[in-house]
Amino acid sequence: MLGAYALAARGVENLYPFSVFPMYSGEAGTGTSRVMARTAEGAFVEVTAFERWQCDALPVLETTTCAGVGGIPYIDREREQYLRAHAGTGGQPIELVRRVFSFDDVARPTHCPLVRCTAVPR
Amino acid sequence: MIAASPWDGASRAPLRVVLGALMAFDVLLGAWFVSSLRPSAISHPHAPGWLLALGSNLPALAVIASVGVAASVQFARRAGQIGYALAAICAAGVLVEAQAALLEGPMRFLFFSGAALTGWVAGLVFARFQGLDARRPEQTRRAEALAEQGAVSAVAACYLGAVASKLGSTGVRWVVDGGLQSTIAAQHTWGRSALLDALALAALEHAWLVHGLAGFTLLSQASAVLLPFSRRGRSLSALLLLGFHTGVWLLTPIAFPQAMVLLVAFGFPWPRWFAKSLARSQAQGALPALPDVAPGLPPSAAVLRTVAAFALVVGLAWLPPLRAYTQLQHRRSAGQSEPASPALAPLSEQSRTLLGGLQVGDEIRGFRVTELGESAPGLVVITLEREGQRVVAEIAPRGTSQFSAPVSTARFDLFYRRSSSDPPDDFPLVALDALATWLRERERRP
Repeated sequence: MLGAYALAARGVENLYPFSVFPMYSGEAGTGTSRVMARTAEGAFVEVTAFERWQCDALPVLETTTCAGVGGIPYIDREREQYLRAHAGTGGQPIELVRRVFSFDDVARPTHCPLVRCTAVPR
Repeated sequence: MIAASPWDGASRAPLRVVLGALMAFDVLLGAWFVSSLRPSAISHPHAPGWLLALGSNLPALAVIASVGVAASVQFARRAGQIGYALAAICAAGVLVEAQAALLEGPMRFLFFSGAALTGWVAGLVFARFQGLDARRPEQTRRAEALAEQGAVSAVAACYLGAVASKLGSTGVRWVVDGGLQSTIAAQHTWGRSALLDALALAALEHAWLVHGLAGFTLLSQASAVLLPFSRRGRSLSALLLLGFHTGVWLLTPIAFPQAMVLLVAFGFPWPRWFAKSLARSQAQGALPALPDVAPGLPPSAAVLRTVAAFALVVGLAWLPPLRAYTQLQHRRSAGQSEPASPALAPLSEQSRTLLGGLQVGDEIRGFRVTELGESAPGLVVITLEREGQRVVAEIAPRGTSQFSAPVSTARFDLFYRRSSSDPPDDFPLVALDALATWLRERERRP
């Protein structure tokens, strides 16, 4: 069974219930980034910590990068869906940023601003 | 051929119930996922229409979920119910594949229960080939011992596939250069717990720590080779894998609860522990842990028939059309088949009206229009550029193309052309989505 499953999974790669589970098998690359909220105090917080978001002109998040470093597309999409689903008014000024995590010695900014917004803590 | 199991000497009915419950849970979860999805720019371009049509189709999902849950319950209730097991696998498979086609590839945490149940069925079939029918009470224990081994083997194959994928991609360098650091950075939920934030930060700032975690990942996944072959080895591997899953769950939100339940259920000698506990309270002896599977080789005819059945499944899995479909699960790269690029005719008056006077140089939701025209009457071709990347999109009246559109509006199907020089990311689909949103806004105007 072990061998049969392994061979079948190698054939289809991913077709229920067979999979080679290839997630996270690649290299780390030079860095990664993710969309986060930056408060007026400079703290980086998950966007899901706020609601009633109102942004000047929300970009398509997964097309944005910071110092050439992008994020994971589906996570960016989930963030954007959250922001659109939790739109509203009022609250405090928040900067939507792309926070960068570098894994090499290249000097990069820690974050890039994407758009100015207001939001209310949940 | 088959080593002893921690469940030897006891009924496997609890394992069957756990498997049935997990399958029912997966079926309901799959139906719930699909109930909120609709075909979009990131849907599989070659998915069958009926599969995409399940998105947000509550009546159809209710029927499939009911069949899947009922079959899971029937499988769990009585031994040897191969038909119900296959029905449950099919129901879960349709839902998982619908989600995969609609969204952006499958959610792998949903695969473990199905893999284990497939292994269970394979074990029952192997037993039947030996003349053992789990439906006969006197043969249930021996037949389900084989089913248990099949299930454990399938779970082991899942983990060994994961470790093989990592080693096949970067070799043992995965420990140093692998994506664990990147995964933690991109997925950790900051602000949920100060302790977990500190752990995640430590892993990101201290290379030795993340290398150690990566090494443990490979070790625990490779230990799955022990799962089918040794009673103590199975418990040891289950412990390592549970530790791995727990660590991943704490450092990221990535959880594989079904796999963890399977490891807990199949990995430890629960019957012996309960029997010991009962023996203490009732002054009775514990169950003897005698192997339920007869030692030595099984009949060669049964082995041959089983190998033939496995070969059939493996052969189907390697069919080129199936592979072509599944290889697009996470790397969607097709809209219309790549046609030649003839010179474009100017927009017709009808298309010009549709696009509201759009001209080369205008912007659509952050994408600059660099080319605009018609490749055939009514078929608008529009080239969009952003940050040095470009995509050629096509707008066709809805339902007039032979291809499944990756995204549609009320009146139009949208496609993109892709060339081999394009980067392997989702840029074309993002551009197509932006174009669709822009078109929908225009369609809503009186």
